[in-house]
Amino acid sequence: MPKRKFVNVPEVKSIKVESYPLFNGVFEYNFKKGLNLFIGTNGIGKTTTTHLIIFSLIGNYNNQYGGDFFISRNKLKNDNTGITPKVSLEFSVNNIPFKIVRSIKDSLILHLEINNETIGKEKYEEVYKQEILRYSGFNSFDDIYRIITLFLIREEEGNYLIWDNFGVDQSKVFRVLFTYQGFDKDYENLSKRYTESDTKIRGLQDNRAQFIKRIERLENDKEELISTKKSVQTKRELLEKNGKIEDKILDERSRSLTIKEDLEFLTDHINEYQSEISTLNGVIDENTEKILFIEKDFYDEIYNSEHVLLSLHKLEHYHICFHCNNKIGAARAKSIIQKYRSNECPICDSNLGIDETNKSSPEDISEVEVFKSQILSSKEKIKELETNLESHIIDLDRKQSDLEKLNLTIQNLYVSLRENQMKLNEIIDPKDEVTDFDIQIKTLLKEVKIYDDEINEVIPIRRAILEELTSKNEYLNKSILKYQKDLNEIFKSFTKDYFEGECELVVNDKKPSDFKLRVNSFIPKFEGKARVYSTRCSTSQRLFLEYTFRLSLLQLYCNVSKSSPMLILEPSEGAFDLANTTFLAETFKTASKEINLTVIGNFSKPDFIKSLAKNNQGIKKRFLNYLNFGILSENEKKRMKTYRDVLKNAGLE
Amino acid sequence: MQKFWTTNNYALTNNILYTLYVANKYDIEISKIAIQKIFYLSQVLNPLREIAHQIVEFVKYFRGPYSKNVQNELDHLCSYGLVELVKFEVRNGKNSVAVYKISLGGINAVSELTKYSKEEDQFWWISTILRTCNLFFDDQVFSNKKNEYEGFDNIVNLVYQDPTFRDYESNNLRSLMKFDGDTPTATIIKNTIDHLGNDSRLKDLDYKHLVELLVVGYFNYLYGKYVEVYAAD
Repeated sequence: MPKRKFVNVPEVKSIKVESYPLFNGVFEYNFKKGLNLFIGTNGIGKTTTTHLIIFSLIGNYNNQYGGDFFISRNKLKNDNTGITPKVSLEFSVNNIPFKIVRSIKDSLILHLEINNETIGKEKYEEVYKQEILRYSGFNSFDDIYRIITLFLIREEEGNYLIWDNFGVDQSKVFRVLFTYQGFDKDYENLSKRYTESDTKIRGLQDNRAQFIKRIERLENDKEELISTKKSVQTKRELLEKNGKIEDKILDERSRSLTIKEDLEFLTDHINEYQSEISTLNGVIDENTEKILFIEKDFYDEIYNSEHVLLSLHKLEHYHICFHCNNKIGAARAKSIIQKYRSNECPICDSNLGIDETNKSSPEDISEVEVFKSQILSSKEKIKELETNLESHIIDLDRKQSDLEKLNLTIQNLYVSLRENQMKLNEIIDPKDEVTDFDIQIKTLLKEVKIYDDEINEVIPIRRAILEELTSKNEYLNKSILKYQKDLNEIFKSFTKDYFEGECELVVNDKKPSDFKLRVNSFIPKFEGKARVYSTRCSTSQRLFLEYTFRLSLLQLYCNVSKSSPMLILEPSEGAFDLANTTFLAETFKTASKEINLTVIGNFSKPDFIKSLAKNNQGIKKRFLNYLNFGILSENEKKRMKTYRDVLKNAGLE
Repeated sequence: MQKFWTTNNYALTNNILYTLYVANKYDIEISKIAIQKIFYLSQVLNPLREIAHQIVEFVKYFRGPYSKNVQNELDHLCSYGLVELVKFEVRNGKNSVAVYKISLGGINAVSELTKYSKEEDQFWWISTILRTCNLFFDDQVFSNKKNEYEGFDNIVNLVYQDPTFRDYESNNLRSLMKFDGDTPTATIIKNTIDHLGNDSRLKDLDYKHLVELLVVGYFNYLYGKYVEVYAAD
């Protein structure tokens, strides 16, 4: 735990404005301990005075007062007098006196004294900044500016610290004022580093997401291309179809082989039957031949028998011509018979063609029956064989027909296969087409990997920062909780008579927007309800709570830091009714006993001025009357007496 | 055995002898024309016996179917004395009329031949044709002015009605007449046999009687056809 040492808020001692056209002449005021009262008409320069105080302290830091901020209010722009309007501010930081004079026109430091030593002109800016931060313990001008604008100076329509976007502003005030010097710097640094690392991670993640989107787009394009071409599907289908056709061809060829085997079997049997039939026909032919041979012998014998060839018998033995029945000579008859026997025609001497080869004894015609029987038997066998043959031939024909059909089917399948193969050859391999996509995707994936590596490198850093920040935040939250009791004690003392029943500050544990962590902040609770939103209160309640919260907070800070900064309030007393106006004034008076408070008012509520001045010893010395140096309009000038009467009535004149 | 005589077509020779034998037995004067027609009928009606063997070839001639083989064999038989030419006339200076008769030697040959069952069956067949033909011989029916035939030669008029012959005639075909296969005559015979196959009255008839009955039926058909033609004339 670092040594507790609070920052030192500059304590304003005096202000002097010269040559500023908003005011007549020189306006100068020395702030007093306790209550200071600034009264003026509307638009006379009261709020500008607060801005001049801030401006004196931080200059045109961060261009807060750049452009024509002061110019637009006083026609300084057209001032050609050559006189430099300037504001002088005396303040102390940790009891070190500072005196600074700034040009209102260009914010340049015109004079600087620190700890009663005049600083060289050439080092004004550098020395001033260095010294004020050194003595105050603030981290930056920005912190000074923020503490003043968030907390120590409130314009009439200014910010609400008690309802501050779930504790963002309160967190800042507590970090700067109520922890220790350097805490807020560490906290802010951690927040900044966390934000940087987080931003870096998010940036990397965004870039990575862009690559992922591009990859997805490429994947989609690739898929679209593939689906558009349909080549993958077509090729797959064709390959599947080819596979099926090849399987079918194998099946059909297998069937074909089976049929061919059957055909061979049948052909063998048919050949066998035909051979047997042929053999039997041979037997028939052979027997028929034998029959014919026997029959010829039989016929020859009959026709050449003497009782048939009676004519030759009559010629040979009786020498009688069988044509005319006349008797011829024996020699002539013998000669004619001899010619017959010599197979010659007795008339023309030509060969009679009588076959003499078979001179054996004629066969018995009864043998014909044996051969006929064999022929019959053979024919019956042939008939039987032919029946089987016919059956086999029918089978053969059928199977041949089947085989032809099968061969045609196989042929058609081969044709289909060839056609498909040709289609396949025509299809460009989709893999080739998507190669470009794949290359791009691969390249992008490498990029994604690089981002992943970077992200993975930063994530632990961010986690470590967050852990440290969380630790700091827990410390902050504990600190806030620790101050709750003391703060409430002060706060309740201001509010106890204003609200029916008790009004206290309760801790609101919320995560402000843009914050990673939950921070504690105070919100008012009265009538049993914590008022998370300002709209849950009336206007006067809202204003009263805001004023008293700042008063309480400043008193607490003064108590713990032993310093005495000043709170400048420009209250909207017009929003309060008569009784509450007085109560508001009394509250300011009470508070100013412990803290330095400057109340800026106008003439809208004379009672408010009167109440503030009432029973206030030396109030006239704590009173800045803008009527004395402010520039009034003609109408305001007409009401001057009224203004003076109010002041007189309040005992301020 | 000393052979003085032989032939390569004993079936023809035998059938000539059978024809003349039956003609002689039934006192039928048979001419060379009639013999041709008997042979034609015996062959064209062979489907009745479920035989399609063609012994000789016929051509459509101006006197109906004619086979020169028949005439040559007849002359050959005459030269050896197995058949006698009992009458020969030349008419109109061109056409000859020859009447034949079987000789004793021929009769003896038939006696010997018919001992063989095959020849006996053939003899019965020729006999059936000739006898049936003789049944339908009626001079009065065939004696009309346009008829140039006499006696048994009128068989020509019946043969003219045979559907096979008419088929050749109507188509003016002069080619060889074929009797194997489905001739118109064979178709009629087949249809008739199929029809009669369901007639229970015919079941008790033996084969030869049934065939003879069918031959009679067929001649009746030819005769009826001729009468139709004659009536028309």
